Amino acid sequence: MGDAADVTFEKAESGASLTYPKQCSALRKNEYCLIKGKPVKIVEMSTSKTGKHGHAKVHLTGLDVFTNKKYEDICPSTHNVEVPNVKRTEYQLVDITDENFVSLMDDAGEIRENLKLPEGDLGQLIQKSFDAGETLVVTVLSAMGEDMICSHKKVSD
Amino acid sequence: MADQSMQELEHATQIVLAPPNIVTSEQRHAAEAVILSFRKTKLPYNTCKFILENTKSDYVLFQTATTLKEAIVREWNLLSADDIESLRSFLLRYITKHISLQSYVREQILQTVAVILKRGTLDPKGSGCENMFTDVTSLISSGNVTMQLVACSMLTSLLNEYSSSSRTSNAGFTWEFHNRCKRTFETSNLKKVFLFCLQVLNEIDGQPTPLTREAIAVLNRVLSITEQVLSWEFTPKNLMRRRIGLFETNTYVTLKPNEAWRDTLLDRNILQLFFKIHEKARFNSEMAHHSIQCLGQLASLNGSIFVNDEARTQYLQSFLDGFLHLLASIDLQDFENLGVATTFKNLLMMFPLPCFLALPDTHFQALVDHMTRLTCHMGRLAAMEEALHKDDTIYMEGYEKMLETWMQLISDVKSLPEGALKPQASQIFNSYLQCHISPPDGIRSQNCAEAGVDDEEIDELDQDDRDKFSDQLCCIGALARVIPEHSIPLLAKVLEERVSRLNGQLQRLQQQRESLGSLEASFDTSILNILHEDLHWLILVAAHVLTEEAEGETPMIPADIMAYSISNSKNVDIQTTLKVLSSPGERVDDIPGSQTTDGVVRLISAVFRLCEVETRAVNAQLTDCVSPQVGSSTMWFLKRWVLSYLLPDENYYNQMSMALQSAFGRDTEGAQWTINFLIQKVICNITTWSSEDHLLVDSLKVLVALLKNGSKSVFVVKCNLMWDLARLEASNKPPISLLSPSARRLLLKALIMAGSGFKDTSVKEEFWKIILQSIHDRFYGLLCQENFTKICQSTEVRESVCCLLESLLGIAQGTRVDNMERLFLYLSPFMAENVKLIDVYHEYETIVSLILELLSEVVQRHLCYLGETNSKKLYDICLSAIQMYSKHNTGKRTIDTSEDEENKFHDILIVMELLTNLLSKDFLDFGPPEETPHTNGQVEGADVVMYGLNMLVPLMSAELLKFPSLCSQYFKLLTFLTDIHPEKFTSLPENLFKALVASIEHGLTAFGPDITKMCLEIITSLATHVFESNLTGSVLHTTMSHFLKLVFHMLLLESFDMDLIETASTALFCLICCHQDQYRELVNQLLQSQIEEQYKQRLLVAFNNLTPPTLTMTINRQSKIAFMQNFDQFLVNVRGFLCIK
Repeated sequence: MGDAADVTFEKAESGASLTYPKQCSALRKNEYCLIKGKPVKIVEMSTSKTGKHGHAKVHLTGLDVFTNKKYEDICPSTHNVEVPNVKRTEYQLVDITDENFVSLMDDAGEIRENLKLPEGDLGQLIQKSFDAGETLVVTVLSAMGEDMICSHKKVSD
Repeated sequence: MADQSMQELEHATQIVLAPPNIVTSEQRHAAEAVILSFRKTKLPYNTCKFILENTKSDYVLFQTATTLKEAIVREWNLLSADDIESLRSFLLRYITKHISLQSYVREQILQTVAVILKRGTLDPKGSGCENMFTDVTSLISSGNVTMQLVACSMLTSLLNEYSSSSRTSNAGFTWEFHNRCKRTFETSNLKKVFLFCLQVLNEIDGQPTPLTREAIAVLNRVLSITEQVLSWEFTPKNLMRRRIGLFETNTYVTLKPNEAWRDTLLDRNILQLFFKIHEKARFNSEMAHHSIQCLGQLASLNGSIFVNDEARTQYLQSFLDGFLHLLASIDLQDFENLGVATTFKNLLMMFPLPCFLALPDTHFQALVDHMTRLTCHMGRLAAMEEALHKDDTIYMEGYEKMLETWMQLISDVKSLPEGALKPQASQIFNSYLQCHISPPDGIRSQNCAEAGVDDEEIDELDQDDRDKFSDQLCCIGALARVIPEHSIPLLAKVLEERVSRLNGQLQRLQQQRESLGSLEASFDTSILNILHEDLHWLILVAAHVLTEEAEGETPMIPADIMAYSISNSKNVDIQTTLKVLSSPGERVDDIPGSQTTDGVVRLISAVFRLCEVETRAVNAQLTDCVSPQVGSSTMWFLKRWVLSYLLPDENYYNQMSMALQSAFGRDTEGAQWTINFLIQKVICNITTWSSEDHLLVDSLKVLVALLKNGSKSVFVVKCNLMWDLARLEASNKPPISLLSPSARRLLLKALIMAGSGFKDTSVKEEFWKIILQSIHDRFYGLLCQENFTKICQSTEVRESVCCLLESLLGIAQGTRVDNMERLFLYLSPFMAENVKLIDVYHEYETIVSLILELLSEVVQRHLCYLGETNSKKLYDICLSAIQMYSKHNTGKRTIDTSEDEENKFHDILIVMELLTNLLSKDFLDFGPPEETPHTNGQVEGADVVMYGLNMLVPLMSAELLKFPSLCSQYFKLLTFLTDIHPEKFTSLPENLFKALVASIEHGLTAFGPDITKMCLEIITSLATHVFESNLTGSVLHTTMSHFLKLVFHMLLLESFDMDLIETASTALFCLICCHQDQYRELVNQLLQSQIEEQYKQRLLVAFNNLTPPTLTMTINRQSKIAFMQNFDQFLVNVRGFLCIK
């Protein structure tokens, strides 16, 4: 019962593969895919064909999930496109070191210390809240073996 | 004094016209104020005269003319007849003295003159138009072109003012006044204008060709005036109720003058004159346009001008004499086509067929011959125009008009002699086909391929030919059914030939690839593309020949096609016919005795052959050489064809063709073979074309068409492939897992409907189980994983959730009465589970929308059949879903109209649909009664709806109401709710109630007649409730007083759509019943505001008749009807002077 589905999810969980292939026509807006090797979130998607009797082509526009840079691509809709396994994990923020490294704790109490505070407004906001002694939960976005803190929220205890 | 005014005005003008960077906006407003206050000057006549004579500024001239116009209307009673006449002649003299005026200034001055004349029409002070005509005549006979053109402008302004249309200037007269002036002008002056035009036309006709430049200038203007006279909307003897109070121009006006025009218009010399003039005018496109419009209007002559049919026939004959002569002697220029087509159409629309048949034979024959020739001509040029992607579509418009004319003619073909119009229909059909297929048998332009246009990028949003050209294809199909013995074999032959060419071409390509040993070998696709385009069009035409549009009716085999098949039966061999049908892999010509195949079956089998060639190409890995477009068109053909031809119900036909019956009838091998073939094809398409959504959707629509009808699906499910398809779905592997959302829904819908086709309950259950169980397992397998809360946000899980929801939606859409119970049992646990998913996925609008859509679908299709217990269960689910939705959405939405448009509010739209559907049980309840009704703690549909409304109303801002779909759904919901549960509106929270009232008030006027109607219905329901439950003093009662004022003003004083009279009068009546005192107050105010005693009296009488003492002021059917009739009469009596322009 539901074997096929289970297998796939285990794969996603274990992080064994960074990407999986998907037929281009099956992509949807707001989903992720790779364009020029970058994990992007698809913000625009349209189809067209060359000539009345041509086959469908898909035009993709995506924003890099880490840098927000815009990428575009056109491919025949039968082609397979690599889709990154994008994961969001919540951690409690334990500490911020002098070099701007953060110390994060997951649900199971495991600590990881290999991430830096993000640059720009978000990093400053987190620093400020942390300095004010607030309890913070941050969300880490992972794709293509890269991790980045992408949002935070205060926890009212 | 006058000098000072002039300087002030000139100064103000400089500021007003200065560029924005030079003056401040305060300066500009101040300058505008100067001009506006000048326009209100009392007795400005001498000042104005001075300014007109002295200023150099055109803009000041314009403002001065406007001031004069407004002052004369305002101060008419203060002026003497002499004052007025001297002003009029001053202005006219002024125009003739200052010939170099800017045209906008001249037009404004002439309009002022026209308004003076119109104001005086019904007044002894007015001089009437006599002096005016004297002036015009002398201007014309002056021999000076400039003067003649001034005279023409004068006449044009007069016609504009008196036509009481949108062209008329706003002078503040009542509609009734406008209308009386129009009628007076019509009886005493319009014909004079026309005769005057005729005189000039006659003179010009006498001049040698080519005409002088001066003559051309005058002719152009005179023709334009003539056209305006011939397009005049004559006031009917009895006023049309719905036209009262309206100033709009009718776009299509036929020439319908009274008896007084008999001597002119029925004079054959006059018709001759127009035809002669057209020959002189046709070399200039502008003049040609006017003169051919005149001919078109003359072709529409109708009404009491004709004493009898004899007179009508005589006129028709004179007209045709000129028209046919003209057509025979000239080659049409591009700008003449549309006018000529309109003339044909008007003739055929306005003159009954017996008139044509009473003409000498040669006339009718010549008429249809010219029609045929020109139809084919325009068709060819239209095709060329299309191929070159021209922006101008003059030929296409002309062609479509010609086809409409043919539709008019062939609708009466039975009253023509046997076989009439067949040669013409054949010619037009052949020509259309030729235009759309390639040489040598066709003439479709190959230019575009050469120019590389064929490689153009085509957007997914571009309209498909089947929709873009559906009108003309319908006409061509109808013409082809006049000559089925010609059109059907021809189509079959060409189609067979193109299919075998495609087959040959594909085989060559395959050999080429094999010899090169590479699949990627490039090749020239131009030959293939030409073949694909031919096939695409042949299929579109064949579909329209074989089937008719059947909106809301049972699709049938068209009678002409049936008759053709029957009439041919003596030459048909049934066995050969079946052989041709069932061997799509063979060439027809290779089948012995193939000429004895039934023509209709042969054409259908040609389409099957095309399907077969495609399938074989796919199997030979030539998919890239197959056209998805042709595939789509073919599937669309098959869908239409399946609905009318496959498994026909013999009871619907008087006579059945043996061939069609044996090939496609119920319980025949032919039909069973065909079903198998079609399902096979659908499966093949699903497997091959997962990347072509249009093609997939069209293919699955064929499947739905096969299973739609319960009695037909019994035969369809005998095909074992249905089981394969069900198992394929259950496996959820590619290609099934690649289906687009819309395709997936269609597939599930078809499979569920197929289940109903099995008679044996256990087989039925077995079939359904395959599909239902698989989805059930996948759904719970996903949600019940231990780590679901962890992985639920991952892309893959979300995708699986969407996919399962789409499947469930498809299942819900497959609901029929016979499977409803089974499906409700199946779907309700999912829906309960979905409520939690709204919580989990509240950030993902797509998923939330799908969940709500599923609920809405189930409510719509199931609720009215459910018993009490199940209804309650469904209400509970809906309530918790809405609660969950509102938990995440209340107060959350920020409006950003710059982004995304309507899609963004898709979830709100669906919630409203859901709420509306929830109310349906109060209208329609087929649910079984239950033994022990639960009365305690019952959740009612209305409670759920009120809860939802509470959340929705704050979201429905004025901004959101601008989206038509949201707006109409919102008011529809309110209409239902107030109709069934008005009592719910007495106890609403204050803010909610205020917001509701504000939205209804806004809806009354802001969004067009449909919404206005709904708002009036809402008000009626609420007012009725207030009255019946005697809620005097309540908030709702007070609100009705506000609405009374609004509705009263809207109906009486504003331009209002008379189609709404029934709804509007009922609303007004109910409101009056609630607030009789306030109503009397409103009536008094209106009476006081009337200045003219005569109008005041009429209004008083009208109000007394509106609510006579006999009318009881209670809300019941009789009173409503009585009031409606009174109100109708009331509006006829008073709207004429209450509506002002």
